Amino acid sequence: MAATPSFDEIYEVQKDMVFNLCLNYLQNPQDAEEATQDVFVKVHEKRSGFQGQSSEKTWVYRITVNHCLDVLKARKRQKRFGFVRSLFGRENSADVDVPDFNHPGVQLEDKEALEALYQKINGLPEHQKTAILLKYLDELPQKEIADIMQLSVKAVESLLMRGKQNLDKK
Amino acid sequence: MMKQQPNLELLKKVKKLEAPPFLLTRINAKIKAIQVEQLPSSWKWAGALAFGLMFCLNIFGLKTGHQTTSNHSGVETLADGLQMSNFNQLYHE
Repeated sequence: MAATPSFDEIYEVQKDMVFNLCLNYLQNPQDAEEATQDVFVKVHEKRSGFQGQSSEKTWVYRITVNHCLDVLKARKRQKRFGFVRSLFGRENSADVDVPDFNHPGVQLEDKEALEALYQKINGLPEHQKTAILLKYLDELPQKEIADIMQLSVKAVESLLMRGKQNLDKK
Repeated sequence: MMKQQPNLELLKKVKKLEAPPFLLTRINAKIKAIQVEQLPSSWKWAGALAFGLMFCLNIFGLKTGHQTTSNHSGVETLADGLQMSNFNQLYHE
C-alpha cells in the first residue's frame, strides 16, 4: 500500500492545477488566489477523511470545483442582495460589485473573443459549465471528468452536448 | 445574418499559469488561524462537564428547596391542630 502523501507534497503537485481551475471559474487572479488558499485549507482539513477511493488528483479536483461553484453562488447572492439594497436607496454598492474579466492566461489578441466566450460559459448551468471547463481548458478525458463530477461517462457526454447546444443558442 | 458559433477550441489558447509565490505560507497561516480559533477538544469536554455539573446542582437545589418550603412549620401545625383560625375577621358581618 502506498504511503499517504503529506500536505506539502499534495500542495507541490496540485497547486498549479488548483490555481488555474480557480482562475477559469472566477476569471480574476485575486479571487483565484483566495480560492486556491481556501481549497488547500479544505484539503488540509479533509485529508484524514480521504479514503483513497479515487485518485488524489481527482479528489483535489472535486474539492476545487465545489469550492469555486460555492464562490460563484455567493457572488450571485451578493449581487442579488446589492440590487435589493439599491431598491432601498443605499447608494454604496461597491462592496457587491462582481469583478471584471481579468484572466492573466488570456493573450491580448484573443481577449475580446475569449471574454465573450467566458461570458457565455458563465451563463451555463453549473454542471454543464464544469464539464466544458474540464474538457476544453484542462483537456481531461471524459472518464476523469465523470470521476470528478461523480457521474457516469454517458451523463458527462450528455452534459457536454447540452452545454454546447446552449452556447450555440446564446 | 447567420449567428456566429462559439468556438470552444479557442479555450485551448488560454495559457496555464504557475501558482503565485508564497501561497503555501499564506495557506499555512490560514490553517494556523483556524486551529487557534477552534478550542481543543479537552477544553470542550471540560466545558460540557462543568455545564452538566451546574445543571445537576441546580436541579438538586430546586428539589431540596421545594421540599423545605412544602413542609409546614411547627406553629402552623399547632394552629391547625387546635383549629385556630388565622383569619383576622372577628365578626361575621
